[in-house]
Amino acid sequence: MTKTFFKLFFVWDYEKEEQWLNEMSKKGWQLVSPGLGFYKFKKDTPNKYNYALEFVSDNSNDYIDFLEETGIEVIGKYFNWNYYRKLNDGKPFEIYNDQESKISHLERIKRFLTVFLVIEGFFLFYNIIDMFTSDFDKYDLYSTFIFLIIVLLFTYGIYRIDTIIKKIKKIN
Amino acid sequence: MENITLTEAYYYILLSLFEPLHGYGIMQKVETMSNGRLTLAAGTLYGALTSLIDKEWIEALPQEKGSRKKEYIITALGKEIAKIELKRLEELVANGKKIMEVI
Repeated sequence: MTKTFFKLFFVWDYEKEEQWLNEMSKKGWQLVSPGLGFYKFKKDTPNKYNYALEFVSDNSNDYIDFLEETGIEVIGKYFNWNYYRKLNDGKPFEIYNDQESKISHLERIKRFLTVFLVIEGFFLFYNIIDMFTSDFDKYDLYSTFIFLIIVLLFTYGIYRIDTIIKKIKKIN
Repeated sequence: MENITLTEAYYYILLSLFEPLHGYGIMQKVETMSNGRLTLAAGTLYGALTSLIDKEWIEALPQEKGSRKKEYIITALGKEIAKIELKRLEELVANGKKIMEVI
């Protein structure tokens, strides 16, 4: 039996996404394929798998082969995100488990968000200039508002990633 | 070169590669050597291996035909580094024993 669930997560909430997938696993729902908000699950033994996500810059066959050799299954790739699962052996399933590699993973996510923020910031700036230099048009106001929301959201996202990085540095 | 301090993970990876091993083999060996204290997650290990190859402390062996398993082995330079680290660790232990008088 398969079932599709709809749920949205922000990029910076990927740990919550992992937690949710693991909770679904506890209930016997095992992820088959991820999608933008749409997750397809298959009914299977509860707790059969543990799940993890990774933001990848290197998606080479070499890396994927390496992961698979250690018992990790690649369920899906979505944009820069890889979805993994591993048979539950009672130990936590992590892709990175030391400070250095955890931080460099988060820095990759931060870099992606920053590039996005700069682009959106440029659109926002252009829109504002346009609003004052051409005849007033209510659609300019709408688009400026939308870009402003996006810019604020991504700024918040970068702040959240920074908070996680700081937390990791403190623990170790 | 005398002032290199290895992380635990790097030291154990170098030790485990005195014989050729593939990724999963390294994970198991490191875990056994450290009595389960040190586990290396797959992504962490892959990153460490990549950086050890860059430093030329280890190298990947040519893959057998049809096999997707890659094996790694320590290089002469890697052995040198491991020896320097061993000396450093011996010094730490010797001083610890001397001062804490646990001999």
